[in-house]
Amino acid sequence: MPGDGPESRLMQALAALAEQVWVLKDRQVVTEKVLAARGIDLQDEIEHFQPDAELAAQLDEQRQHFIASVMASFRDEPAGGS
Amino acid sequence: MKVQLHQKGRASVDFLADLGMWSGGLGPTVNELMASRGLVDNGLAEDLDERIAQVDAAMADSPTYFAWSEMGEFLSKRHGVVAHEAFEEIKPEILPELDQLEKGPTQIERADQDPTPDYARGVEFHRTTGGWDGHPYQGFVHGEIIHRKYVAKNYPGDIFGQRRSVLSELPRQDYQRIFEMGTSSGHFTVPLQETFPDAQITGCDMSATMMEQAQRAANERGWNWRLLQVPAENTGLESGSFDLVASFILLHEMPASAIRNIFAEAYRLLEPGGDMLMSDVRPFRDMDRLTEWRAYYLAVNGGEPHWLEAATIDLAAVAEEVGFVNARSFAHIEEFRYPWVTVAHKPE
Repeated sequence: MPGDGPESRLMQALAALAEQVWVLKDRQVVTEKVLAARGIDLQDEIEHFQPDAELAAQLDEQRQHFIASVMASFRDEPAGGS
Repeated sequence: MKVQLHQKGRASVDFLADLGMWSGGLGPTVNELMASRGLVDNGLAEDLDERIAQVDAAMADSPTYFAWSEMGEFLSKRHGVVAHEAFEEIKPEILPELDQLEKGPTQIERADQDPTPDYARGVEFHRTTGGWDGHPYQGFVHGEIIHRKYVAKNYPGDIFGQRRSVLSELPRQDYQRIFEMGTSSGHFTVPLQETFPDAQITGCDMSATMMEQAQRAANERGWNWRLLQVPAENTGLESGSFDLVASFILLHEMPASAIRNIFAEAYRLLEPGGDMLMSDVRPFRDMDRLTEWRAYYLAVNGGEPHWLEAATIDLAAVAEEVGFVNARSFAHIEEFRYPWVTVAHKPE
């Protein structure tokens, strides 16, 4: 039976993550197709793109926020919390 | 050598590194939860294996503890796979450079037969996929992708700066003939040569695959190192050949008996008046029971089968047992209690 134990939270986190990953994959495929149809083929440029320091810092911040959001259910409730 | 991963490899490695930071960041919360359940000091079992079972049982209902332990397991299994996949993406463009850098003054003297000692045979240290010879370019994969882009973000302080600054613990600045035990991909060998630019460096490792990256690092800089595929405890080199024998983060990969043999070999290889500097992990005697539990837990689950023996042996005492004098073992960086440095002198 589903419950509130670690295994249940794990499945919830996995499902949430899979949903978000698929949304991004779908969007990326659609974006590249739309651009290619307009004569802009970005695949090779994206493959070899190297972020500069500013973008690397933005990606670091967003990635760390993303991890914390996905893993949010794996935190013990504060003492006395519901 | 500038390594630029492609988009998927770069994003995957960055993700794992940040996931490791997130998981490691749960540590203080885990400590607090353990304390609230009496799992501190004498509330923790004396025996380390019993302590692990005790904590696992007492924390079984904690999502934070579950996430901390499961993410550690995931990262241990996953980092080698992701690094290999990242390498495959850049392989066509980087192979010519890698192969070209194997040409030059530094060459590897390869063993006729696999020199891996029994205690290391079949072990995937750090749970790195396939072990040190698990990929034709494992020296590059581990040194330049795993170590530089993943491990470096997940260990306290500057792990490359530490390899340089420990050399300030040596009593002299004029070493001419240096032997490094456990050269691996050369991350300690480079600062050794930069600190002692006039020294002739000889290095050894049981894995030629790992040393190929050290070879590239030396050839890229025009350095002439002699690299030998031999176990550090039995080099076959002439006695009294060196004035410094050094290693960084090697000893915890071997049992106490091998450490004794390595110290004896270091003593034999040094000329009278020479010095030994071995940097490794923090010993358990320097930890409280909670810190000791965490170190042992990470070793047991992190592909470190010999950590317990290495962390419980008195390295300064072993050095003096084999003949060294003025042997000292201490924390190089007070804040981290790491690296743990053992310095000893061979009498005139």
